Amino acid sequence: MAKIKVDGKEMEAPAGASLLQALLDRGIFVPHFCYHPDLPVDGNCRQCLVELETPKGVAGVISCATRVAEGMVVRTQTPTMEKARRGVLEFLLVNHPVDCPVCDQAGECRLQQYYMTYGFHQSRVTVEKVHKNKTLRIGPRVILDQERCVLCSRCVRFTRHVTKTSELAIGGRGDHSFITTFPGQPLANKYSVCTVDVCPVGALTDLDFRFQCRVWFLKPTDTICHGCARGCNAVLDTYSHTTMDGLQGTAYRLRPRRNPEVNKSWMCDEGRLLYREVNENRLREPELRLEGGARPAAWEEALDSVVEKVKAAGPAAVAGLCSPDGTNEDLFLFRKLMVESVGTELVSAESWRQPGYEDDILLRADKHPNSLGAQFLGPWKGLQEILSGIESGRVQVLIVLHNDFLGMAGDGPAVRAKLNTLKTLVVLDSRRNPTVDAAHVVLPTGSFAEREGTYVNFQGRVQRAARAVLPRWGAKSETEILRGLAEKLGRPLEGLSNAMRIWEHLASSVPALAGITYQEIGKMGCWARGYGPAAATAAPAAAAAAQTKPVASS
Amino acid sequence: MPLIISANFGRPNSDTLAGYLANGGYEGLKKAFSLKPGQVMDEVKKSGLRGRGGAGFPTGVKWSFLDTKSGKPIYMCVNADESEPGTFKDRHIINRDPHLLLEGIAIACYAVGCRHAFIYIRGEFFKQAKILERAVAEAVAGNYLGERILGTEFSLKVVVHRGAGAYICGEETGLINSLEGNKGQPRIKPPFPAVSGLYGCPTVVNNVETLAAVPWILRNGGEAYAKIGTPKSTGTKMFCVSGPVRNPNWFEKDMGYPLRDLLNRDAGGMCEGLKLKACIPGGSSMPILTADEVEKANLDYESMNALGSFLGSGGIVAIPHTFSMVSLARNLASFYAHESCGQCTPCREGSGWVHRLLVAIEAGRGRPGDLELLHDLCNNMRAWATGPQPILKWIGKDEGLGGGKTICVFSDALAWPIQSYLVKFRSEFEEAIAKARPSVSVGQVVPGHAEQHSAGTRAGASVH
Repeated sequence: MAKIKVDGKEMEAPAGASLLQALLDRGIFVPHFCYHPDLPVDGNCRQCLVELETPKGVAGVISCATRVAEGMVVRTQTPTMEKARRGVLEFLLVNHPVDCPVCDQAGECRLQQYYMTYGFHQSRVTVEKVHKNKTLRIGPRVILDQERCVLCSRCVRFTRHVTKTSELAIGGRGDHSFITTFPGQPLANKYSVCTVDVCPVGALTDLDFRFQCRVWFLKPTDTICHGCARGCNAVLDTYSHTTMDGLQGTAYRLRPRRNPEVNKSWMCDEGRLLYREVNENRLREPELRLEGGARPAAWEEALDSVVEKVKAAGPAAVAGLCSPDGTNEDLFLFRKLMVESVGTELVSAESWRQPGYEDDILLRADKHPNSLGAQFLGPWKGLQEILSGIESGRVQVLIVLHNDFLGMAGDGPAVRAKLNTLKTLVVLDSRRNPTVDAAHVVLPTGSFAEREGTYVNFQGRVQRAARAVLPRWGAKSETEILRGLAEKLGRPLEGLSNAMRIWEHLASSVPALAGITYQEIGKMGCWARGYGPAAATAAPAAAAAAQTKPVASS
Repeated sequence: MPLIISANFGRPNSDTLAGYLANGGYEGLKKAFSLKPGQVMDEVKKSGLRGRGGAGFPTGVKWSFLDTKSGKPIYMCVNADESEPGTFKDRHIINRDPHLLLEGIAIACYAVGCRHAFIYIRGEFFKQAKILERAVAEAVAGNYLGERILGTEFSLKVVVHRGAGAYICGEETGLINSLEGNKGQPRIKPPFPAVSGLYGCPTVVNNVETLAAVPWILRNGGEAYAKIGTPKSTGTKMFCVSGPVRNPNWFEKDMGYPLRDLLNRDAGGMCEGLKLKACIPGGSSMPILTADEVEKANLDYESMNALGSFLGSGGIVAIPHTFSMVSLARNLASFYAHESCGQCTPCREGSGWVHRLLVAIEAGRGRPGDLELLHDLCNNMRAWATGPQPILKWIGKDEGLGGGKTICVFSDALAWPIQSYLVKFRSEFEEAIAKARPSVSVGQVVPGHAEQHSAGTRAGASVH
């Protein structure tokens, strides 16, 4: 740590760190465009100028490229520097079209924010602006407007240093410079939309989100992407304004939230589209498909019919199937319901989802968000054990929570044939899928946006996702459904009314989570016991062994 | 007055190895080999030789900054990207005495422990690149370059690399980026090239003329060199005089030579019927001198700074009384707006804005307030932050203090001349704005401007 003096105040900052980052971390805001904490410093926008005392006299320096050193004296608010920064801002606007009313970035544009905060000058531009290309589709997901671009090179550096695909480059010179792709090589990597996130202005826009909704109508909620075992920290934007009836609760986009331990500032293109699960293909009300055909049912009736079937079959003839897609809380509660309220030990969390694409940036082959959490909450029985129970006629009722095992079964028809002998298939899920279609009782749950809970990613990081919206249409939260069933079975799940309460119970029963409070997980997550960099240096072998264990196997 | 750089220029076959050897060539290298590398460096430090590219940094000191403890190879880049308007000294050195440069390179590399030197030559210097390539081949064949030079343990590979014709590649880190195959854009300093330059290795970048002075220093000793010129600006310097003078040419003069004498005596004075109005003293980037200031100016670093300008690259352009300063400013701004690499905001956007404003003023579309705007834009562009600021001599209240607006000083190279024209020849700009007619379209011939335009062509043509 080095002692530095900023605007007359003494403070400590890590020696060698970027001065700008040190100032930002200490609540001193200096406007900036090209600096990004997860990209190499380029120092081209010149917006972060501050005054520094040097042996040769007072000098303006860009704080992003200046390294913190002992005894440094910095001033951010002098008239000279304010004039300098206003000058830079004015230069950035010289050739900018100022088309904010039709620009999709309006509301989250740095140029706009800084102008309103620091500039607010009358335009002195009396000459023709430089014109460049607009609405260029530079990749399957990204649109480029060269006129709005401030040439901060963040997107170029992203493709060069993060994905190492280098699709983007700056062509031309001087004020005719422009961002471009190489002929025949579109911006088509698996993380291309990150360039839209890092773009401080409206030059790069996401084809999927473009013109869908003004950002000031959206409410951000901290969530965790459930697309793979990485568990990228994300923000889910949902419609929150009161003016447009029927749109409330609609999800519009999923974007990365910075967490240096997990995903830095990035997220894959595929994961971003998972917001659609909140809006599309949803189950809106309970359905009964018992004797006499399928029909919608009221919740009371649907729950009663499940309880009736369970009671009729007896505890030994009931099996439960959840999956590593669920939150720790849902898995814990589901297991408790099966074991304590129903009285069966035949509970599985095995998923048949096939491993997918993996790289060394973010994407993991394991496409379950909570494999490690499910493993912590085990041991579980195998799915095959349940299927043979069904085949032998021992199992008559199967309750499934978020596990589309029929959809994922490679030999679907064969598995389906085995189910013929099953008397009652109860499925709790949020969206229609092959397993839901085969169910006798369908209980619609909320999507990922409608539940609060924790996941443990492949690194052993325990992370919390907040609830963005209340369960939509006629859906209910998993907790409410499971607790309702327990109560009707005559063995209520006492004291497990919300995610925090459930966490307290489950954390005390799982060694890897022992003593971790819900508050401690916070927005950024925390390491499970025996995981994380500290544990890896202490006992690397043990941690590695724990991490490579197969997921919820029999 | 000895000729140090141009001694062989007029001699027969001066561009061949045989011609060079006939005039005592490569004796300096042999002398260097009889000394330890550190002694060679000391000799250059003693000479007081300062970089001839424009900045005037002491050469021996620059060499001593090289990080020799990193274990990485040390590279030398020879800056032959001579692009400063009004400057043509390096081109003549390469044309007429390429082995002088090669000998200088060999001595410098021996002094700093470099085994691999690159001559980065301006893309347009096609003929000069050929000359250099032939000279390198000759020198290798004669064992003045290559493996185990002259029987010593010292080996040196020299590569001639042609640039792609960007002015900014004359800036040392821009040169290094371009040499590496990247876009020619200056790098943020620190790290300085002496620590991390070409391929991340310690690198020294020297101008052609600087290195061409080194063989003489070795042959005659650093002290002999230091006796020439003024105490702080030692030795001789090549000056290039262009503009409507009777004898536009290069001249090698001792430092401290009066500018008045160079223009009137050596260059033969202004052409028939023309009077000197102003003079660009050291390449187009430098603040202009008025005719009165020319009378007082001596050609050395300190004297130039005392007048609020710089010696720069030694490209001297005489401006006649018939030539409009508005046109000159517009001409320069168009060059700098075209050559700005586009990396830093103030330079990228500012150079274009300044250019378009000057085009408007020249075309009779100026508006009241444009001059204040131009001046303020230049203030907002300047990068030079600390140390002596010679421009304070004439700029009045300096609102560009603080600097740091850009990575390199390219934007100063536009701001300095434009601001100096605005301050020193303000009435010409005010007249242009007062005469402004609102309805003149771009490209239309404005009466009274045709004359000035032809004067511009003349001044430009004599540069080449």
